[in-house]
Amino acid sequence: MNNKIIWLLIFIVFILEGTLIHWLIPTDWYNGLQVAPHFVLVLVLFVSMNRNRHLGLFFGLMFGLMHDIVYASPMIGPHSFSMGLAAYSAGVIAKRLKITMISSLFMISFFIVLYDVANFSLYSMFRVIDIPFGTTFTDFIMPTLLFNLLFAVIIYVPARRWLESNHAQREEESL
Amino acid sequence: MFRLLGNKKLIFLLVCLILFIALMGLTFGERKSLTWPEKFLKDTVSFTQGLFYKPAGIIAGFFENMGMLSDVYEENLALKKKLSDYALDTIRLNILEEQVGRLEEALLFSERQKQANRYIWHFAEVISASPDPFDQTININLGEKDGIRENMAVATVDGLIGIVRNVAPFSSSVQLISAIDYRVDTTKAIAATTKENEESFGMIERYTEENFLEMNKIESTDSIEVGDTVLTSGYGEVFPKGIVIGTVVSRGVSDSGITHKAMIKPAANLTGAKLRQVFVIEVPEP
Repeated sequence: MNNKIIWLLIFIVFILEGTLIHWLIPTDWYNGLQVAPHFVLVLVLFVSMNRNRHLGLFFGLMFGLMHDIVYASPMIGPHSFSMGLAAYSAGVIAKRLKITMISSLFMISFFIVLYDVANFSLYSMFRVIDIPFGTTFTDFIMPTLLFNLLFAVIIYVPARRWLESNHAQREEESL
Repeated sequence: MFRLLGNKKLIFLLVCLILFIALMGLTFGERKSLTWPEKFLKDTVSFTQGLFYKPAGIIAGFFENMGMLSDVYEENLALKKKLSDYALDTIRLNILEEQVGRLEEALLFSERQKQANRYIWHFAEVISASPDPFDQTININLGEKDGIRENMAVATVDGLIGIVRNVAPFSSSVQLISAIDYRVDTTKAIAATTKENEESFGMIERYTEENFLEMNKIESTDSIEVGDTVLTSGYGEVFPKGIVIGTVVSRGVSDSGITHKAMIKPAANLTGAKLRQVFVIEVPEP
């Protein structure tokens, strides 16, 4: 699968994230807890781990920037930065590890949490939010992690197959 | 143990961090208007999202309606009663309006004063909602070309829900009032009063974890009671006068002990809001 199709697919997911997914999350879940779909991030992490880290970094920066602009973040940059950081680090680590399902999912969970924590700290630094980290972690970051991990598990097999169609390219690049 | 990052990469990462912090610092706060690449991107993505949000909402609404099919009879009765009340109110409104008009003439009101309370309600459809819970915004399908400007109030039929944060030519972003917090720099407090007594005054400064709006700075002698309907007072000059915010559920002494505070249940549903249609309220300028 070439990069243009990957780009298009992630763009479609980006669009669905703000529209369709919003309707699919039951309102009851918002009872004290908060769940946010980070499906774009999950896909970008897959790209970064299975293709190469530079492509992942580029996608992360671009889709983060798009989020910042389309949803009118108070400033431009927080999502772009955290998504780029998460994608690049995932790529760097994946290069040195054997990618199995378990290790992939572990890494994805770690970087979903990293993404949220990075956003939380940037927003706190700019005084966009003023909420304690403890409750944010239990009420938002953990439920969000579980929700997105579920998505990652569902798309793991197809994503792996699509992205690894030219696996050889990655091997060459990493040598 | 392998080294994760080389020296060169570490420096590169630090430079990136500095650049990003600079970018965030520069774009933070109120900007005059968006730059054209932002406007372009925002409008194109918003347009595409509009194609998805509405059908999704309709389908979700359909299943919701199926679930409520059994309540239709009671609902119908309630609505009929409401309709007859409404007819009575219309008669009263007509009389009052005519009277107000006559008095305004008699008191030599200027054109600006007469127009001050004739708001224009722009009907807008929601096209997407931000998946980021730290910063809850929705995008609507009206923009600069439709006369939407920054800081206009946004409401549903139930009550106030937010404020326009920024505008592109054909779409704009609305910050929900669930973001209100006096400790942060990006939200605006709402000056409020009650329907029962126009002399009442308080500032809505925070949205609590229990999904109530906290109204502060109420004088201890103020007559606000539990059950009162809270409206915007218009004194803040951001939100126009008379929009329903919610009802008072409790009142007590504030943390400082000098003034009182009241908890308000928002009239419009804000938690996990599945909004479809909203109104942008324009105050006409003569």
